[in-house]
Amino acid sequence: MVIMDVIDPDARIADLVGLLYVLNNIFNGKTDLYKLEKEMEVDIDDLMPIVYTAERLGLVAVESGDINISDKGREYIKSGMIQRKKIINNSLRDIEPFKTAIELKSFSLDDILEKLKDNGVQTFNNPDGLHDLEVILIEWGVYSRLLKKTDDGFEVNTQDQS
Amino acid sequence: MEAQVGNEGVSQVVLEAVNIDFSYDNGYKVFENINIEADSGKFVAIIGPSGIGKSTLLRILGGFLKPDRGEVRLMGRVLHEPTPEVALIHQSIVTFPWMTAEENVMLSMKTKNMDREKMEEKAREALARVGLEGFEDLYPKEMSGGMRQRVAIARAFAADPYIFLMDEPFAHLDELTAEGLRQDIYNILFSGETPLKSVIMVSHNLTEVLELADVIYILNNIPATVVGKVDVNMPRPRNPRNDDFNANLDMLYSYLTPPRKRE
Repeated sequence: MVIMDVIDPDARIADLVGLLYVLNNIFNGKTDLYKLEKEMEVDIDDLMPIVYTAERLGLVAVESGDINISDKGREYIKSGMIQRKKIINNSLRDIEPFKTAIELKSFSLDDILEKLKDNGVQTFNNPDGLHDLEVILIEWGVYSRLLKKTDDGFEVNTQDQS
Repeated sequence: MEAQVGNEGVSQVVLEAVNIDFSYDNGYKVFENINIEADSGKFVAIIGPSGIGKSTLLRILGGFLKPDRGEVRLMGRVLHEPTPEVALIHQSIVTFPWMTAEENVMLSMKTKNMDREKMEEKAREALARVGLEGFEDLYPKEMSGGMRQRVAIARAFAADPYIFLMDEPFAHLDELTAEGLRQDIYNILFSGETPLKSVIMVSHNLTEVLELADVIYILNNIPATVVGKVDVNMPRPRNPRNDDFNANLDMLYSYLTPPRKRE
Protein backbone atom coordinates (compact mmCIF):
# COMPACT_ATOMS: atom_id res chain seq x y z
CA MET A 1 0.00 0.00 0.00
CA VAL A 2 1.32 3.44 -0.90
CA ILE A 3 0.24 6.22 1.45
CA MET A 4 0.65 9.96 0.90
CA ASP A 5 1.97 11.28 4.21
CA VAL A 6 -0.50 13.86 5.47
CA ILE A 7 -1.29 15.17 8.95
CA ASP A 8 -4.67 13.66 9.80
CA PRO A 9 -7.28 16.44 10.11
CA ASP A 10 -8.60 14.82 13.30
CA ALA A 11 -5.21 14.65 15.02
CA ARG A 12 -4.66 17.13 17.87
CA ILE A 13 -1.27 18.02 19.38
CA ALA A 14 -2.63 17.55 22.91
CA ASP A 15 -3.57 13.99 21.96
CA LEU A 16 -0.04 13.41 20.64
CA VAL A 17 1.44 14.28 24.03
CA GLY A 18 -1.09 12.01 25.75
CA LEU A 19 -0.38 9.13 23.39
CA LEU A 20 3.39 9.34 23.88
CA TYR A 21 3.11 9.68 27.67
CA VAL A 22 0.83 6.66 28.00
CA LEU A 23 2.91 4.60 25.59
CA ASN A 24 6.18 5.43 27.31
CA ASN A 25 5.17 5.58 30.96
CA ILE A 26 2.51 2.89 31.21
CA PHE A 27 3.57 0.45 28.49
CA ASN A 28 7.32 1.09 28.61
CA GLY A 29 7.31 2.18 24.97
CA LYS A 30 5.69 -0.82 23.30
CA THR A 31 2.22 -2.39 23.28
CA ASP A 32 -0.69 -3.64 21.23
CA LEU A 33 -3.01 -0.96 19.90
CA TYR A 34 -6.05 -2.64 21.47
CA LYS A 35 -4.43 -2.36 24.90
CA LEU A 36 -3.69 1.30 24.26
CA GLU A 37 -7.33 1.79 23.23
CA LYS A 38 -8.53 0.23 26.49
CA GLU A 39 -6.07 2.18 28.63
CA MET A 40 -6.95 5.51 27.00
CA GLU A 41 -10.69 4.66 26.92
CA VAL A 42 -11.07 5.82 23.32
CA ASP A 43 -12.38 4.31 20.10
CA ILE A 44 -10.66 4.07 16.73
CA ASP A 45 -12.00 7.44 15.53
CA ASP A 46 -10.16 9.06 18.44
CA LEU A 47 -7.11 6.83 18.52
CA MET A 48 -6.12 6.19 14.93
CA PRO A 49 -5.81 9.81 13.66
CA ILE A 50 -3.15 10.56 16.27
CA VAL A 51 -1.50 7.14 15.88
CA TYR A 52 -1.21 7.59 12.11
CA THR A 53 0.05 11.17 12.54
CA ALA A 54 2.61 10.21 15.21
CA GLU A 55 3.84 7.49 12.87
CA ARG A 56 4.18 9.93 9.97
CA LEU A 57 6.13 12.30 12.24
CA GLY A 58 8.50 9.44 13.12
CA LEU A 59 7.57 9.51 16.80
CA VAL A 60 6.21 5.95 16.84
CA ALA A 61 6.37 2.89 14.61
CA VAL A 62 3.10 1.08 13.91
CA GLU A 63 2.68 -2.25 12.21
CA SER A 64 0.35 -5.24 12.42
CA GLY A 65 -1.51 -3.96 15.46
CA ASP A 66 1.62 -3.09 17.46
CA ILE A 67 2.91 0.35 18.40
CA ASN A 68 6.47 1.20 19.48
CA ILE A 69 7.82 4.56 20.56
CA SER A 70 10.86 5.69 18.54
CA ASP A 71 14.02 7.40 19.82
CA LYS A 72 12.58 10.66 18.50
CA GLY A 73 9.36 10.00 20.41
CA ARG A 74 11.27 9.41 23.65
CA GLU A 75 13.27 12.59 23.04
CA TYR A 76 10.01 14.48 22.49
CA ILE A 77 8.46 13.58 25.83
CA LYS A 78 11.58 14.22 27.87
CA SER A 79 12.12 17.64 26.21
CA GLY A 80 10.90 21.07 27.24
CA MET A 81 8.45 23.12 25.21
CA ILE A 82 11.00 24.82 22.92
CA GLN A 83 12.73 21.56 22.00
CA ARG A 84 9.36 19.87 21.41
CA LYS A 85 8.46 22.60 18.94
CA LYS A 86 11.79 22.08 17.16
CA ILE A 87 11.15 18.36 16.88
CA ILE A 88 7.69 18.92 15.39
CA ASN A 89 9.04 21.69 13.13
CA ASN A 90 11.70 19.40 11.66
CA SER A 91 9.35 16.43 11.40
CA LEU A 92 6.65 18.32 9.47
CA ARG A 93 8.83 19.27 6.54
CA ASP A 94 8.30 16.09 4.51
CA ILE A 95 4.62 15.75 5.42
CA GLU A 96 1.68 17.38 3.69
CA PRO A 97 0.36 20.03 3.77
CA PHE A 98 3.72 21.41 5.00
CA LYS A 99 5.83 20.01 2.17
CA THR A 100 3.68 22.04 -0.23
CA ALA A 101 3.68 25.06 2.13
CA ILE A 102 7.50 25.13 2.06
CA GLU A 103 7.40 24.88 -1.74
CA LEU A 104 5.03 27.89 -1.92
CA LYS A 105 6.82 29.94 0.79
CA SER A 106 3.92 32.44 1.05
CA PHE A 107 0.32 31.54 0.29
CA SER A 108 -3.36 32.01 0.91
CA LEU A 109 -5.57 29.08 1.93
CA ASP A 110 -7.00 28.90 -1.58
CA ASP A 111 -3.49 28.89 -3.10
CA ILE A 112 -2.28 25.97 -1.04
CA LEU A 113 -5.52 24.02 -1.45
CA GLU A 114 -5.17 24.28 -5.23
CA LYS A 115 -1.49 23.31 -5.11
CA LEU A 116 -2.20 20.34 -2.86
CA LYS A 117 -4.76 19.09 -5.38
CA ASP A 118 -2.17 19.51 -8.15
CA ASN A 119 0.29 17.51 -6.03
CA GLY A 120 -2.23 14.67 -5.71
CA VAL A 121 -3.16 15.24 -2.06
CA GLN A 122 -6.85 14.30 -1.82
CA THR A 123 -7.29 14.73 1.96
CA PHE A 124 -8.68 18.26 1.75
CA ASN A 125 -10.77 17.73 -1.38
CA ASN A 126 -14.08 17.67 0.52
CA PRO A 127 -16.61 20.20 1.88
CA ASP A 128 -14.71 20.57 5.19
CA GLY A 129 -11.32 20.57 3.48
CA LEU A 130 -10.56 24.30 3.68
CA HIS A 131 -11.42 24.43 7.37
CA ASP A 132 -9.40 21.28 8.13
CA LEU A 133 -6.45 22.72 6.22
CA GLU A 134 -6.55 26.01 8.15
CA VAL A 135 -6.74 24.19 11.49
CA ILE A 136 -3.76 21.98 10.60
CA LEU A 137 -1.65 24.90 9.35
CA ILE A 138 -2.30 26.82 12.57
CA GLU A 139 -2.26 23.98 15.08
CA TRP A 140 0.85 22.23 13.77
CA GLY A 141 2.57 24.83 11.57
CA VAL A 142 2.21 28.03 13.60
CA TYR A 143 2.61 26.13 16.90
CA SER A 144 5.95 24.70 15.78
CA ARG A 145 7.03 28.05 14.26
CA LEU A 146 7.40 26.49 10.82
CA LEU A 147 4.77 28.97 9.60
CA LYS A 148 3.61 32.40 10.62
CA LYS A 149 0.20 33.89 10.01
CA THR A 150 -0.04 36.90 7.69
CA ASP A 151 -2.94 39.16 6.74
CA ASP A 152 -3.45 37.19 3.53
CA GLY A 153 -2.68 33.70 4.74
CA PHE A 154 0.57 32.07 5.83
CA GLU A 155 4.29 32.42 5.27
CA VAL A 156 7.13 30.00 5.91
CA ASN A 157 9.07 31.30 8.87
CA THR A 158 12.62 31.89 7.62
CA GLN A 159 13.77 33.87 10.66
CA ASP A 160 13.13 31.10 13.14
CA GLN A 161 14.62 27.99 11.56
CA SER A 162 14.08 26.00 14.72
CA MET B 1 -34.45 -20.30 -2.36
CA GLU B 2 -36.31 -20.02 0.94
CA ALA B 3 -34.56 -18.10 3.66
CA GLN B 4 -34.77 -18.73 7.37
CA VAL B 5 -34.15 -16.19 10.06
CA GLY B 6 -31.52 -16.66 12.73
CA ASN B 7 -28.13 -18.29 12.82
CA GLU B 8 -29.32 -21.70 11.78
CA GLY B 9 -30.99 -22.81 8.61
CA VAL B 10 -30.60 -22.03 4.94
CA SER B 11 -28.21 -19.19 4.22
CA GLN B 12 -29.11 -16.68 1.57
CA VAL B 13 -27.52 -13.45 0.37
CA VAL B 14 -29.85 -10.68 1.54
CA LEU B 15 -27.91 -7.63 0.42
CA GLU B 16 -24.70 -7.41 -1.57
CA ALA B 17 -22.52 -4.67 -2.94
CA VAL B 18 -20.78 -5.77 -6.11
CA ASN B 19 -17.69 -3.98 -7.48
CA ILE B 20 -18.74 -0.58 -6.13
CA ASP B 21 -16.82 2.55 -7.18
CA PHE B 22 -18.00 5.92 -5.90
CA SER B 23 -16.72 9.51 -6.17
CA TYR B 24 -18.03 12.76 -4.72
CA ASP B 25 -19.20 15.44 -7.17
CA ASN B 26 -15.83 17.22 -6.85
CA GLY B 27 -14.04 14.14 -8.22
CA TYR B 28 -12.73 12.80 -4.89
CA LYS B 29 -12.79 9.03 -5.23
CA VAL B 30 -14.15 7.51 -2.03
CA PHE B 31 -14.52 3.80 -2.90
CA GLU B 32 -12.85 1.47 -5.31
CA ASN B 33 -14.14 -2.00 -6.05
CA ILE B 34 -16.05 -2.55 -2.80
CA ASN B 35 -17.58 -6.01 -2.42
CA ILE B 36 -19.70 -6.72 0.66
CA GLU B 37 -22.22 -9.45 1.34
CA ALA B 38 -24.83 -9.75 4.10
CA ASP B 39 -26.21 -13.27 4.44
CA SER B 40 -29.41 -14.22 6.20
CA GLY B 41 -29.04 -14.62 9.94
CA LYS B 42 -25.77 -12.70 9.98
CA PHE B 43 -24.91 -9.49 11.77
CA VAL B 44 -22.38 -7.73 9.55
CA ALA B 45 -20.17 -4.86 10.72
CA ILE B 46 -18.09 -2.43 8.69
CA ILE B 47 -15.15 -0.69 10.33
CA GLY B 48 -12.42 1.64 9.15
CA PRO B 49 -10.49 4.77 10.09
CA SER B 50 -12.23 8.10 10.61
CA GLY B 51 -13.30 9.73 7.34
CA ILE B 52 -13.01 6.54 5.27
CA GLY B 53 -16.66 6.86 4.14
CA LYS B 54 -18.47 4.28 6.26
CA SER B 55 -21.70 6.30 6.44
CA THR B 56 -21.51 7.05 2.71
CA LEU B 57 -21.23 3.33 2.04
CA LEU B 58 -24.39 2.69 4.08
CA ARG B 59 -26.24 5.29 2.00
CA ILE B 60 -25.11 3.50 -1.16
CA LEU B 61 -26.24 0.15 0.28
CA GLY B 62 -29.62 1.70 1.10
CA GLY B 63 -30.12 3.02 -2.44
CA PHE B 64 -29.83 6.66 -1.35
CA LEU B 65 -26.66 7.22 -3.42
CA LYS B 66 -25.93 5.76 -6.83
CA PRO B 67 -22.48 4.20 -7.32
CA ASP B 68 -20.36 5.22 -10.33
CA ARG B 69 -19.72 1.56 -11.06
CA GLY B 70 -21.10 -1.70 -9.75
CA GLU B 71 -24.45 -2.37 -8.15
CA VAL B 72 -26.29 -3.15 -4.94
CA ARG B 73 -28.55 -6.20 -4.96
CA LEU B 74 -31.36 -6.86 -2.49
CA MET B 75 -32.47 -10.50 -2.46
CA GLY B 76 -30.94 -10.82 -5.91
CA ARG B 77 -32.66 -7.75 -7.40
CA VAL B 78 -30.68 -4.66 -8.35
CA LEU B 79 -31.51 -1.82 -5.95
CA HIS B 80 -32.02 1.46 -7.80
CA GLU B 81 -33.64 3.56 -5.06
CA PRO B 82 -34.54 3.47 -1.36
CA THR B 83 -37.15 0.89 -0.39
CA PRO B 84 -38.99 0.08 2.87
CA GLU B 85 -37.38 -3.36 2.62
CA VAL B 86 -34.09 -1.71 3.68
CA ALA B 87 -34.28 0.32 6.91
CA LEU B 88 -31.59 2.90 7.68
CA ILE B 89 -31.11 3.73 11.37
CA HIS B 90 -29.05 6.86 11.95
CA GLN B 91 -26.54 7.65 14.67
CA SER B 92 -28.50 10.71 15.72
CA ILE B 93 -31.67 9.49 17.36
CA VAL B 94 -34.53 10.69 15.18
CA THR B 95 -37.84 10.91 17.00
CA PHE B 96 -40.43 13.59 16.49
CA PRO B 97 -41.03 15.48 19.77
CA TRP B 98 -44.71 16.22 19.14
CA MET B 99 -45.58 12.55 18.62
CA THR B 100 -45.92 9.77 21.19
CA ALA B 101 -43.76 6.66 20.93
CA GLU B 102 -46.61 4.85 19.19
CA GLU B 103 -47.20 7.70 16.72
CA ASN B 104 -43.45 7.85 15.98
CA VAL B 105 -43.48 4.16 15.13
CA MET B 106 -46.64 4.46 13.01
CA LEU B 107 -44.83 6.93 10.73
CA SER B 108 -43.03 4.11 8.96
CA MET B 109 -46.36 2.55 7.91
CA LYS B 110 -48.00 5.69 6.51
CA THR B 111 -47.14 4.77 2.94
CA LYS B 112 -48.51 1.24 3.26
CA ASN B 113 -52.19 2.01 2.76
CA MET B 114 -53.00 0.35 6.08
CA ASP B 115 -55.99 1.24 8.27
CA ARG B 116 -55.24 3.07 11.53
CA GLU B 117 -56.28 0.20 13.78
CA LYS B 118 -53.86 -2.16 12.05
CA MET B 119 -51.09 0.45 12.21
CA GLU B 120 -51.64 0.91 15.95
CA GLU B 121 -51.52 -2.84 16.49
CA LYS B 122 -48.27 -3.20 14.55
CA ALA B 123 -46.75 -0.19 16.33
CA ARG B 124 -47.57 -1.69 19.74
CA GLU B 125 -46.08 -5.02 18.64
CA ALA B 126 -42.90 -3.30 17.45
CA LEU B 127 -42.58 -1.33 20.70
CA ALA B 128 -43.08 -4.49 22.74
CA ARG B 129 -40.38 -6.19 20.68
CA VAL B 130 -37.83 -3.56 21.74
CA GLY B 131 -38.90 -3.67 25.39
CA LEU B 132 -41.17 -0.61 25.45
CA GLU B 133 -44.50 -2.25 26.21
CA GLY B 134 -46.46 0.14 28.45
CA PHE B 135 -44.55 3.21 27.21
CA GLU B 136 -46.59 3.72 24.01
CA ASP B 137 -48.05 7.07 25.10
CA LEU B 138 -44.81 8.70 26.25
CA TYR B 139 -43.40 11.65 24.32
CA PRO B 140 -39.68 11.69 23.43
CA LYS B 141 -38.93 14.34 26.09
CA GLU B 142 -40.25 11.87 28.70
CA MET B 143 -37.84 9.13 27.56
CA SER B 144 -34.14 8.46 28.08
CA GLY B 145 -31.75 8.41 25.11
CA GLY B 146 -31.78 4.61 25.17
CA MET B 147 -35.59 4.51 25.06
CA ARG B 148 -35.68 6.97 22.14
CA GLN B 149 -33.21 4.82 20.20
CA ARG B 150 -35.42 1.82 20.92
CA VAL B 151 -38.37 3.77 19.48
CA ALA B 152 -36.29 4.47 16.35
CA ILE B 153 -35.51 0.74 16.07
CA ALA B 154 -39.19 -0.15 16.62
CA ARG B 155 -40.14 2.27 13.83
CA ALA B 156 -37.70 0.49 11.52
CA PHE B 157 -39.13 -2.91 12.55
CA ALA B 158 -42.70 -1.78 11.85
CA ALA B 159 -41.91 -1.31 8.16
CA ASP B 160 -41.11 -5.06 7.95
CA PRO B 161 -37.68 -4.63 6.34
CA TYR B 162 -35.45 -7.50 5.26
CA ILE B 163 -32.35 -5.72 6.48
CA PHE B 164 -31.32 -3.00 8.91
CA LEU B 165 -28.50 -0.61 8.00
CA MET B 166 -27.33 0.84 11.32
CA ASP B 167 -25.05 3.89 11.34
CA GLU B 168 -23.28 4.07 14.72
CA PRO B 169 -26.56 3.27 16.49
CA PHE B 170 -25.12 3.55 20.01
CA ALA B 171 -22.85 6.55 19.43
CA HIS B 172 -25.06 9.10 21.17
CA LEU B 173 -25.88 6.98 24.20
CA ASP B 174 -23.97 6.93 27.46
CA GLU B 175 -21.80 3.83 27.85
CA LEU B 176 -24.03 2.16 30.44
CA THR B 177 -27.16 2.60 28.29
CA ALA B 178 -25.30 1.53 25.16
CA GLU B 179 -24.01 -1.61 26.88
CA GLY B 180 -27.53 -2.55 28.01
CA LEU B 181 -28.99 -1.95 24.56
CA ARG B 182 -26.20 -3.91 22.89
CA GLN B 183 -26.91 -6.87 25.13
CA ASP B 184 -30.55 -6.85 24.01
CA ILE B 185 -30.12 -5.89 20.40
CA TYR B 186 -28.84 -9.10 18.85
CA ASN B 187 -31.67 -11.18 20.32
CA ILE B 188 -34.25 -8.54 19.37
CA LEU B 189 -33.01 -8.35 15.79
CA PHE B 190 -32.92 -12.07 15.18
CA SER B 191 -35.90 -13.19 17.25
CA GLY B 192 -37.39 -14.78 14.16
CA GLU B 193 -40.72 -13.03 14.68
CA THR B 194 -40.21 -10.53 11.83
CA PRO B 195 -39.15 -10.65 8.16
CA LEU B 196 -35.76 -9.20 9.19
CA LYS B 197 -32.97 -11.39 7.85
CA SER B 198 -29.75 -9.45 8.31
CA VAL B 199 -28.11 -6.33 9.74
CA ILE B 200 -25.23 -4.21 8.52
CA MET B 201 -23.78 -1.83 11.13
CA VAL B 202 -20.97 0.68 10.79
CA SER B 203 -19.14 1.63 13.95
CA HIS B 204 -15.89 3.14 15.21
CA ASN B 205 -16.14 1.15 18.44
CA LEU B 206 -14.27 -2.13 17.90
CA THR B 207 -15.43 -3.61 21.21
CA GLU B 208 -19.05 -3.00 20.24
CA VAL B 209 -18.41 -4.53 16.84
CA LEU B 210 -16.85 -7.67 18.30
CA GLU B 211 -19.69 -8.06 20.79
CA LEU B 212 -22.28 -8.09 18.00
CA ALA B 213 -20.89 -9.11 14.62
CA ASP B 214 -20.76 -12.46 12.88
CA VAL B 215 -18.78 -10.98 9.99
CA ILE B 216 -16.59 -7.85 9.96
CA TYR B 217 -15.42 -6.01 6.84
CA ILE B 218 -12.44 -3.69 7.30
CA LEU B 219 -12.10 -0.65 5.03
CA ASN B 220 -8.81 1.19 4.58
CA ASN B 221 -6.74 3.14 2.02
CA ILE B 222 -7.62 6.11 -0.18
CA PRO B 223 -9.81 5.46 -2.09
CA ALA B 224 -11.26 2.98 0.38
CA THR B 225 -11.16 -0.71 -0.41
CA VAL B 226 -12.05 -3.77 1.63
CA VAL B 227 -8.70 -4.79 3.13
CA GLY B 228 -10.02 -7.62 5.25
CA LYS B 229 -13.01 -9.79 6.10
CA VAL B 230 -13.16 -11.51 9.46
CA ASP B 231 -15.59 -14.26 10.44
CA VAL B 232 -16.09 -13.95 14.19
CA ASN B 233 -16.48 -17.40 15.67
CA MET B 234 -16.80 -16.58 19.36
CA PRO B 235 -19.73 -17.97 21.38
CA ARG B 236 -22.39 -15.54 22.67
CA PRO B 237 -22.67 -13.69 24.95
CA ARG B 238 -19.17 -12.38 24.34
CA ASN B 239 -16.98 -11.12 27.13
CA PRO B 240 -14.75 -8.16 26.19
CA ARG B 241 -12.36 -9.13 28.97
CA ASN B 242 -11.42 -12.62 27.82
CA ASP B 243 -8.30 -13.59 25.85
CA ASP B 244 -10.16 -14.75 22.74
CA PHE B 245 -11.95 -11.39 22.51
CA ASN B 246 -8.63 -9.52 22.86
CA ALA B 247 -7.00 -11.70 20.20
CA ASN B 248 -9.79 -10.71 17.79
CA LEU B 249 -9.35 -7.03 18.70
CA ASP B 250 -5.62 -7.36 18.01
CA MET B 251 -6.38 -8.89 14.61
CA LEU B 252 -8.73 -6.02 13.67
CA TYR B 253 -6.03 -3.49 14.55
CA SER B 254 -3.51 -5.39 12.44
CA TYR B 255 -5.73 -4.77 9.39
CA LEU B 256 -5.74 -1.04 10.20
CA THR B 257 -1.96 -0.88 10.51
CA PRO B 258 -0.47 -2.77 7.57
CA PRO B 259 3.19 -2.41 6.58
CA ARG B 260 3.60 0.87 4.70
CA LYS B 261 5.50 1.81 1.57
CA ARG B 262 6.28 5.51 1.38
CA GLU B 263 6.10 7.59 -1.77
